[in-house]
Amino acid sequence: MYLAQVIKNDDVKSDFYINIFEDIVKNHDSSFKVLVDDAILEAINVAKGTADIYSINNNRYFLVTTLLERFKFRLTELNSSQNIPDEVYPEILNLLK
Amino acid sequence: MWFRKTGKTQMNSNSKTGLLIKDEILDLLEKKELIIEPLLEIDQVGEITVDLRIGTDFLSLQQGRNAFIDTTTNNIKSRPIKSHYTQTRRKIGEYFLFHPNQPVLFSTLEYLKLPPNIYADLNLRSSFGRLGLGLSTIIQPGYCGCASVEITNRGNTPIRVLSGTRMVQIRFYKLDSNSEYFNKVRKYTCQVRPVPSKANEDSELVKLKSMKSK
Amino acid sequence: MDYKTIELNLCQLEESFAKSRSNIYSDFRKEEHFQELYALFQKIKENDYQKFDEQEILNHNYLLNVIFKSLEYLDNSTLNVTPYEIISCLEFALNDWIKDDDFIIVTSLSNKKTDFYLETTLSEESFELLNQFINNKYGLKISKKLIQISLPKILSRDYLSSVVLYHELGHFVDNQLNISKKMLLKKYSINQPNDDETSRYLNHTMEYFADLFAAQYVNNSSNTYLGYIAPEHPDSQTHPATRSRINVSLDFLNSKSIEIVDEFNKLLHLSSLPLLEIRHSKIDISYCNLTKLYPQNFEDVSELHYIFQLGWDIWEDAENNFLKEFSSRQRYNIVNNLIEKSISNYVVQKNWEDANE
Repeated sequence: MYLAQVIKNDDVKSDFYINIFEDIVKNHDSSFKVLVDDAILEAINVAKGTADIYSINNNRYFLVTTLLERFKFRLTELNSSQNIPDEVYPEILNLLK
Repeated sequence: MWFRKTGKTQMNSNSKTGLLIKDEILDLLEKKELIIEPLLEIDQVGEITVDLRIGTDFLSLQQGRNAFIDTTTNNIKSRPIKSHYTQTRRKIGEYFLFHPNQPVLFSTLEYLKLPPNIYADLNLRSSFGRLGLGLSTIIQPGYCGCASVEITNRGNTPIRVLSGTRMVQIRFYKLDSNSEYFNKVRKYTCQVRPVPSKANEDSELVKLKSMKSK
Repeated sequence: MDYKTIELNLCQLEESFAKSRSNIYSDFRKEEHFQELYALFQKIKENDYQKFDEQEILNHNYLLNVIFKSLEYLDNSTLNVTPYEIISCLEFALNDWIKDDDFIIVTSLSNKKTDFYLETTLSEESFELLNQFINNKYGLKISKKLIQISLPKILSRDYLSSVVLYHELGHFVDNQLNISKKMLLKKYSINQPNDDETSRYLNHTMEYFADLFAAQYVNNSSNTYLGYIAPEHPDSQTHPATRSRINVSLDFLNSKSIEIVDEFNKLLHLSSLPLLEIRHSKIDISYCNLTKLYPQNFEDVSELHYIFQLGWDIWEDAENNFLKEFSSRQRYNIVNNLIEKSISNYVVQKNWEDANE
């Protein structure tokens, strides 16, 4: 085999999420903000043990699980009943990059 | 109720042999002594015939790089007869084209199982015969499988038909004794797709060739 | 990677479209999908891609690869010998798990004897991300996802070995719904395996799920075939030992409580997905039509799935049953032909009734 794998799906998802987060950081009212906020809230709930890993939504599975794996400590500091603080988005953007 | 008899056709009780009429056919179907499946509409059973539909599998005879089809030889070095056919499948409702002078083999949609005392012959429904298509096939008593039908468009215009169309009529004839279909080795048992000619597998070919040097 | 990568991909895709445009699809959705891909390709081509930044190059490279892969699938799907019967069975099973009209199933036949698989161009998440991106950038949308079902050319009418496809469908469902990955995350707090132990855990979990998935529909026949092609295979990095795979499926079929099934079902329940359960209805072999040499009729789709087990039971006992007078080749052909026609009759009858409504 000349190449092991042409497309690494997770890299690709990461690339698209980078786009979305860059957009949110630049324009605070990005049309994707709702989608991303839902994913962050879901990750917060799982990180704090108020939601089960098994219940993670498949539509945003990569983002939620990436946050859980690499951002868990920070997630536990966030409050799922309040808006996501603005500084969180650049932090996640750096993480994805 | 699939197999309700009409009562319109009088049973021919005197005739133990010969052509089966509608109620006799329905009676056999009901008793599962005659199998025609799927029978999508009961009105496929007519007064003396049953309409059969074009199935989904076709074999078209093609002009290949070989100058002729060799029916005299069957070994690993010779080209098999089936290589002269192009196989194709259609879903029910998709069309198939009969090109002029191109023999086409197809299977009926219906799977048939005949009792040991009934044989059948197949003809085209007249609507298709009038278009220049032709066929004539006999089915042995006890046969089981889809009927393999060979049709050639003898006209000069391609003819388009839908897979699933009622194209063929089958008539059943009762014999006065049973014929054991499996008394000899059968190459075509339970076939559900058309099978290419096996003319080069005739066991007499070796014998015939040996006579040449005598 | 720079803009020249995009340029090279575009030139190669131009060739690919030139060939694929002559395809005739009997399914209009494939034609629509083709047109959507072409529209996206044209937009990218017209764009000033030389000025793309690094991120845009990465994204567009991915888009072009998706278009390539989709054309590859579409080219294969003009196949004129599509094995509709087995695909119909898989569609019935898939419909229990992923009710998604966005899928278009395409088929390819491989020259390799072991090439059974289901593959898609995009996961649900990637599909949404991709559409968000192209809608934002070009105002376009790709409305369907392709699933490619591949099976070996020489076995495309071998319904005994086709049971493997139910196992492969299990992998596909697992992958789409992140089932085994969630188990990995729960156990090791990682979303991708990172060493031999976690990789082994994920692989084995995936295999057990696929085996159980198949057992739901085709009873033990997937394991029966496994017994022919991988008898007594020991535990490996990629697969559990054949013996333990068979035991897990048998315990499941006998409704014994097993830890891994309970764990899968806990996950499926919390994910609001269907549970692993018996999804076939047994047909009594002594009364079945196959033994009288004509196709089996089915009450419903759960009986339909059981035809594979029935076929295996008849073929394995062929020396003693109604097939004993036939040669081994004829026995094999008769079983396969009758399975094919049984499935075909069920589907045709169902479609006919649907068309009447």
